[in-house]
Amino acid sequence: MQFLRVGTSGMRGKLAEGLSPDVATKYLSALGTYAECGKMVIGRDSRVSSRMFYELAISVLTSCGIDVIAIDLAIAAELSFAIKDFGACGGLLISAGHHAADWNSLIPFNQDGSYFNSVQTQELLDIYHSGDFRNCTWDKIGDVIEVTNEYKKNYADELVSKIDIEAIAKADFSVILDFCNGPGSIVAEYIIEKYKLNFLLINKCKSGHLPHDPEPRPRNASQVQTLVTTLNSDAGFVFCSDMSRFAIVTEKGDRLSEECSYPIVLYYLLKTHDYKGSVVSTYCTTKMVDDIVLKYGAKLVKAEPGQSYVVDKISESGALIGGEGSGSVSAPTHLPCYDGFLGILLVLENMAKSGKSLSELKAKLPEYHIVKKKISCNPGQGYSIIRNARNFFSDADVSEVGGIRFDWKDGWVNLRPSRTEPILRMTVEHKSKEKAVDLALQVRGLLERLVSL
Amino acid sequence: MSKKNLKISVSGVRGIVGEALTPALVTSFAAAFGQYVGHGRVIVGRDTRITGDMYERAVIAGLLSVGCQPVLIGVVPTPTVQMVVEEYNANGGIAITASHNPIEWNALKLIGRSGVFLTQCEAKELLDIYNQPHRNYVCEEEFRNIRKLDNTFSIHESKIFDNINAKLIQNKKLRVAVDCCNGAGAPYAVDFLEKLGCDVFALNTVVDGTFHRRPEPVPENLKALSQAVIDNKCDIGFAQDPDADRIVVVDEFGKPIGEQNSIVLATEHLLSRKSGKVVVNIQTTKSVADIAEKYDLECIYTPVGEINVTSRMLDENAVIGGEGGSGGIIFPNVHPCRDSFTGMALILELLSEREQSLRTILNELPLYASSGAKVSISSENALKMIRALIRKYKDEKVSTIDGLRIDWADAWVLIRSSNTEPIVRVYAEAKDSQKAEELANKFIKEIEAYV
Repeated sequence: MQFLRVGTSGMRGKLAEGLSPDVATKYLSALGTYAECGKMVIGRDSRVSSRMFYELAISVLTSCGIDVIAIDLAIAAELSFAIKDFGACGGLLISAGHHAADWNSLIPFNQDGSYFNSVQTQELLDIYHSGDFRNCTWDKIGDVIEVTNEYKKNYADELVSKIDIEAIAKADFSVILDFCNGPGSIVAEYIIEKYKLNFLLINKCKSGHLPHDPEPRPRNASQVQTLVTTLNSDAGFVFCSDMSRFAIVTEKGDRLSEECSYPIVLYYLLKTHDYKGSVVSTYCTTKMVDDIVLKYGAKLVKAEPGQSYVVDKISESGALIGGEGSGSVSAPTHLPCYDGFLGILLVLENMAKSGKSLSELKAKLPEYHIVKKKISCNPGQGYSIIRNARNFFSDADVSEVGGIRFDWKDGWVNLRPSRTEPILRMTVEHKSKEKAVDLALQVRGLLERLVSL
Repeated sequence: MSKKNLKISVSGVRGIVGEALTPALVTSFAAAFGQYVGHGRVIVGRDTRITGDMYERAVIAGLLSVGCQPVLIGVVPTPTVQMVVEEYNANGGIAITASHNPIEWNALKLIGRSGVFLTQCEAKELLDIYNQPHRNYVCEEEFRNIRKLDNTFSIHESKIFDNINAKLIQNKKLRVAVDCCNGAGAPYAVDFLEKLGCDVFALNTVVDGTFHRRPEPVPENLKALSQAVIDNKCDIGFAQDPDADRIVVVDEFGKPIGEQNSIVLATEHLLSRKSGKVVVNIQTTKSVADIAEKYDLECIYTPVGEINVTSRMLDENAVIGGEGGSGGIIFPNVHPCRDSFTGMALILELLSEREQSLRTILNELPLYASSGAKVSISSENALKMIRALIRKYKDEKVSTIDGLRIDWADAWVLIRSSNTEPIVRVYAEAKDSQKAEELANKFIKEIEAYV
């Protein structure tokens, strides 16, 4: 296993074995050295190890002469908002996001509130590897400005200004929200109280201990499903620790694939906006997105998977919205950052305005069946296997960005090495469920033969 | 070889901010300390230095990373940290302070389970852990949270009040000037002295992260205090250092009595009413030994360093002890540590009991004049030189506990290399200052032959 990953999503790793205080300190020193100007915003999720990295980050960044605005518990979008709001030169989020317990990550943000792009990541890593860090004398070290929870209202107000909250309040939906004990419930409580919403929050104790696997996927939505069906709620949502991802449970208790989150939001925006410009997706996001974009005559731009690439493409192409199959959306009118709150509020706004239930909205989506599998391979072997997979299908269009993708009219297969585990990730999607399962089996067979070679 | 201003030694880790004392190093050191004392509570306090917050966070991160629970007690005197470790049965403590060093320095002082500094042997074990390439970082389920304790100085204060005759002092309504050096004593000293019934005239009590006077409480840095004593017709003036473990006294005429004589006053006070041993470091004025002799009691010398004095005091069940050269008074009934607050209370108690002025009391004591100087010399040459001098003076009354001390009937000299700089310090005492200076100069010449 490789327990440490460094890239455009920052430095992430398994505690102790990978993301130790030693490597974290080095990375933070590089960040403090890289930062040009004086102010950075630091936030964290509620995982038990996050407090350790938070204190470490404040210490190291101030030693580099950075003034730190410490906002403590925050989701990714709050950090993104605070960076712009304070006119800071950047920020740092300490959040394990969708990663399992025992993992954490340090994610640097730009002054516009987005993840570092690949050029910045490279520059940062050059400093990291050089080991030549800024180290200020006693009279030059940075100050720490601690911001209270009161400050969260500013983000919350900004968020609700981007949607028709009155319409949602008027519809009086019963909604279940599962925060996986992350920090997002603080903002939710404020919005609920202000707009008298009938939302029930669960797993909101911010203990940092995970009530279930934090990846917002159908298999982790059973608590929400139970509550939705028992309480006859209109909707249920599951979030990861930094709320960059969300998954949906319908009023019937159907746990939708996380792949549906972005298409439902996208469908609503394109339908109501009469928009012909760009929309961003990734090479391994559901084809539902492609079909919806085609239907409304907008232009689809594909990025490599990952928030940094998607948000960068949104800004490059001037897109209305971007997102990916993990259950993430970002709209540049809001923040250059994935925000699960924005996603679910757009879903609820859609329900309120159209008067349609979630099942009805889901039924509007193009029908696709998706199969996701992992295939073990030795670390560092991934790309060589993928190279050999190029001639698996002679009848498909083949593209090789961030892995390999085979496209047919009604389906596709994507293979890419995981960034965190010694596995290949296979995504198969097809209009026909049977064909999707068949394709998955077929590819798996072919791959296993290659892996064993 | 270039010398960095960093010292990782048995007395902890000390360095200049912006040089080698990085948060990375402090985190790693705190993690090693946490590993050494075991998963459990570690009390963390600090002095008022502006860099204290930065290092406190590094210490917190280091302790959390190995499964300890940091218990934060904020800006407090170092002795308070030591007492809280004992009071709360913590596994250890870390005081973030560079003591009397200037503002650009900072350091960690390491406190063991019983609330005294790590002994040489313990510190060596800790350094062995620190020098390993890996730490035992813990996984998710072993992480502890952070605790904060407010108002821990009250623990410290009540321990002192339990061991002195406060009533006696309160009745005297003494006029006292105190210079807190804007340090860890600043938030507490005025209130403490007022509780002892004193009229207090305080200087440098603002806590803003810097020191408004030079932090070492030596006579040349205490001019403002002397003036305050004169202007307000005080009975006595006290000066603390930034972490409030040292205490230095100014007499009623505004004259600093010298950092050597704090322990002299405390020794005279304690021994005059109770029999027992005195333990002081080798750098301490002969006056202490003379007083012990006067009461027919034993004075024991130890190497320099608070822990050397306190551990010997505990072994010998001493009634009082200290470090002459640095204004250190250790009264084990309160806690076996240097403490300026205990020192102030004992000296005020002495004044109250004798009903004499400070100068009158001092005039009756066998005081010495001193002279000191330092000579730059490499540590290697220093070692050679000291060995040669030991051979040369072997027929005199020689002590080699720490450096070389030679005692004559009414004079003595100590030649000792510094732990922190490539220098040798010569310190001589005699009955008048001319003789002390002559003695010091004689040895400086001898040393210079080895430079």
